[in-house]
Amino acid sequence: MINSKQELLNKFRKRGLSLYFHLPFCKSKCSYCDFYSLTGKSDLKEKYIQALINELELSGERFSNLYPEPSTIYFGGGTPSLFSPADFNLIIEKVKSYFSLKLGSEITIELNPADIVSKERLIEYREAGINRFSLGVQSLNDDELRLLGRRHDGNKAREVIRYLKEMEVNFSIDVISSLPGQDNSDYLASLKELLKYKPNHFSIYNLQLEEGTELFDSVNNGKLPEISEEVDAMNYKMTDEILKAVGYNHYEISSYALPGYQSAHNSSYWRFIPYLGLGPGAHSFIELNRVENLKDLDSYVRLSTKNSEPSREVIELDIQDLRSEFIFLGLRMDQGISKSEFSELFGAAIGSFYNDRINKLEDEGLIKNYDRVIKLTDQGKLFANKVFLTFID
Amino acid sequence: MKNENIRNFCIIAHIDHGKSTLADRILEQTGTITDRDMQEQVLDNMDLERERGITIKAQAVSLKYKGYKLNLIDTPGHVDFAYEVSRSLAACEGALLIIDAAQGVEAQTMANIYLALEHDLEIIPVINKIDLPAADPDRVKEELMDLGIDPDEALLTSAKDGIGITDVLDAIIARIPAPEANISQPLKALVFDSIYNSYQGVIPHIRIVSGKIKKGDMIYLMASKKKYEVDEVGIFNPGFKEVEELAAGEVGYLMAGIKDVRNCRVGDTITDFNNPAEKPLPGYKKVQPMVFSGMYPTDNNDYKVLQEALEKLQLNDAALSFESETSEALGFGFRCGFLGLLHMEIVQERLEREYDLDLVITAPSVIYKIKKKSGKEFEIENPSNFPEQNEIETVSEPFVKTNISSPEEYIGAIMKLCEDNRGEFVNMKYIDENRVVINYHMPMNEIITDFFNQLKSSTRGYATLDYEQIGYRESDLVKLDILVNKEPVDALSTIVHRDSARRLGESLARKLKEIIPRHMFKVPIQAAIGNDVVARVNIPAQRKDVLQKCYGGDVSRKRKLLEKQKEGKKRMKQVGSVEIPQDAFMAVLERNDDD
Repeated sequence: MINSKQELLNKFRKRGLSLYFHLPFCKSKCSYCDFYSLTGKSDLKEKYIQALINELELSGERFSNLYPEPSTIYFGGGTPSLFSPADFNLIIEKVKSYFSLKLGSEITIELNPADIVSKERLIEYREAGINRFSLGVQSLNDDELRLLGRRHDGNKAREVIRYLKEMEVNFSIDVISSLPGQDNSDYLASLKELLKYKPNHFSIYNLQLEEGTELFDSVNNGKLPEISEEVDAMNYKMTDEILKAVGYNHYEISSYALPGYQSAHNSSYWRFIPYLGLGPGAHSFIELNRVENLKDLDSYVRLSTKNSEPSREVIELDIQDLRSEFIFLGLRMDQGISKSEFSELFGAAIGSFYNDRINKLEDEGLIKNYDRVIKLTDQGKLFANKVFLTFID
Repeated sequence: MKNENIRNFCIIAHIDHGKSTLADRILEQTGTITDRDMQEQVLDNMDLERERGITIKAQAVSLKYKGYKLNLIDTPGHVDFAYEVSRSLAACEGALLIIDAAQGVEAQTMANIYLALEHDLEIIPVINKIDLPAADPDRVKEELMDLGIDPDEALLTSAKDGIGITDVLDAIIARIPAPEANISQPLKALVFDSIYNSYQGVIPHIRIVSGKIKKGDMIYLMASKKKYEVDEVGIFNPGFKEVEELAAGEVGYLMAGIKDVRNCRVGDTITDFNNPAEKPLPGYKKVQPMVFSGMYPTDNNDYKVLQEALEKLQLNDAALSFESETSEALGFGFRCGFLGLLHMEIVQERLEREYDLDLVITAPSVIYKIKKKSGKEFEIENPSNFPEQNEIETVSEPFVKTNISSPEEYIGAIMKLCEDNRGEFVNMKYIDENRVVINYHMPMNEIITDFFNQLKSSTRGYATLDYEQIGYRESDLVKLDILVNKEPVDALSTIVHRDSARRLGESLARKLKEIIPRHMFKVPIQAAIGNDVVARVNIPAQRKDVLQKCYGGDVSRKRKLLEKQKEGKKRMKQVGSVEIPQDAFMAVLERNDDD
């Protein structure tokens, strides 16, 4: 018997919660970034924190009974490091007043190395309650950093990494691979040097040329060369080999962690765990809906002064959508999808919906169908889109 | 004796010279259509006709003007439908010949004049679009004189602005002869068109040549040898309007519960079953499809839907033929026969629009006549049935005579194009001091493979093309096979001349390389004649296909992206392990080698 949407919702509410706070302020826009973020709005920062607190209060009232125990908090951007430690402390305390936050819950902040003028600043963030630092290094090559429009050079990044090492805190490094005109050796030089610092975690993704960004235009009108798929595929394979060799788990398509240091917050996206995203442009996955807050900083701040909810776009997912999302998100992880978890959620075995597709993909060598789990093969990771596509109806 | 109060006429014109607009103005002027919420171009009913600006089906309408009954028969405006045009003309005593005041006489104008003269019609030349800044009526008059038409008889109109319409109506009455009224002779009625309707069945459009017809009469169709009882007769007003009877000289319709359009073909003669005419009217011809292509549903489950759709279209279109066929590459589908490329496109578009089908259509083919060494002779309309090379004694293909009209500066380009397409020069003639008509004999196969597009592009759209069949000729033809990932794809086979096989093979392989998406493995594409590979290209393997970044905000976006890709995949055919997009099957058609 297939579970009804109501039954699915009841189960969904028991899966936990993650909280995401979006801080859409930047000093300058990076050439590849299409996240919602504005420059030249720093005078709004103070009001903005108030607005976030306001949305948090409204969300807390609405959801804390149904989803009482968030397991992670994530401050993303934009550029969260443009905000002071006190701002984060205020938000964390406010979370605690509505939800029960377990000791040691993962609380992450994204940092731009350019903003970290001293180790003191990092210590203050830690004292404000942050226990995981995600550093946007992207590359250690200064030419590449200029191409990406970053505000820092390689040396600045090295300096901040040293602070983090000295503090012995949990930190992750973001790297972007496969830039236009980049050679395998360029990328590997950055990666290998970063490896010397042994961060607990790497998020490594190839550059996506998103429409509307400066880089997209430059490649489109021929100012920059096309990104080589050959180089990209090679980067991907070599990253996997190199990081695995020194003890990292390749636990998700773009994520690598030393044992015990997988990102709990990011994993919640792939593990089909509900999340609330606060701030303009933030996304939520709540009550089985995908929700996006309107990308409009000014009206977000204005509505909050009236104690109103921000404007949102809500996409209701039907059971078929939810099944396919469970699969294509779950397959991103090295652990794959658990068949018993699928049956428990949806009320019938995965094979009863997708047997033919699973067999076909297995024949093509893209997935492996084990007794208890289904996983991407190495080839399947390289061609994950083909697998995901199969589960879209 | 004549039926003095009736005039039967048609309008003939080169495409876009304003035929349908003039027809609309005549309808308005005579009060046939009073309401101004009439759609533009009333007589072109189908969306397709309006969009393309061409008339596909003939239509008729009766007008009242100054006590006369004027029957206008609108004719299809394309060479594919030449036979239907000839039957419409045979139903008339006169024709309005529309010529664009700026464009002047074109290839089709000349073809129309000859056709009208053949049917002994009184021609009223109408120089239309005189409102255009580039209009040059005097030049057009000179061109007409060269064609043996008295330029003083030409009327000047602007159908768009409603100028000169009453002159046209008055000329119809004054100059077109009244029809003969042989009421006492046995019934002879010419079927010049029909439409199908699910209540009354086939409704033939008829011109009564002699005798009369009324409800209750037993009629006999002389070519199809079928007998029916008449349920209703009437005229076009412009809808159906029942009348007591139709008599010699009149144009109208009849309903007789005719279920199959093939029992009431255009050109057939209807007579009285109990008092039959001795001989049918001349000129009947069972139209034969000239161009064939395979139509396959992209989703094999739609086979039945496609079959039903074709059956329905055929009710209204006796020229459309189809029979089921199986392709190793494409699965179950139909081999369909058409009058020409336009006819094929129309059927395809109607299937996709009106029946919501996604189709893969193979490149069109003509009918080849093959004689084997064993002495066996047969015809093929599907290249994949072409026999092994060593079994063949001779192959013949249909040839056509082309009439291409163009400004003289493109003569060189046109001659090169015709010669590249195996044309043999026949004749060239100046229509006026700077425009020519060029005749070539060419294999019809070359005409249906992109020739028209190439002609348009090499003459900046100025040249026009018209052609007629001139019979079969022997040619040195071979079958060009395409192998995708080492597997022959039967639906991509074509028949080509031996001398151009290598060039076409190379060009087709290159095109397929662009059209077929990359796969996880290398996909070789080969063009071969028998076992002889004449061209080979490789589609390199795709190395990676993964959206690496996927966090909370990316999920909906990724999903939309995946959904879009999935939609694109639906329009592909899986052949072996390779996915081939629809476009690939038509790439065979495009023969421009400028890449």
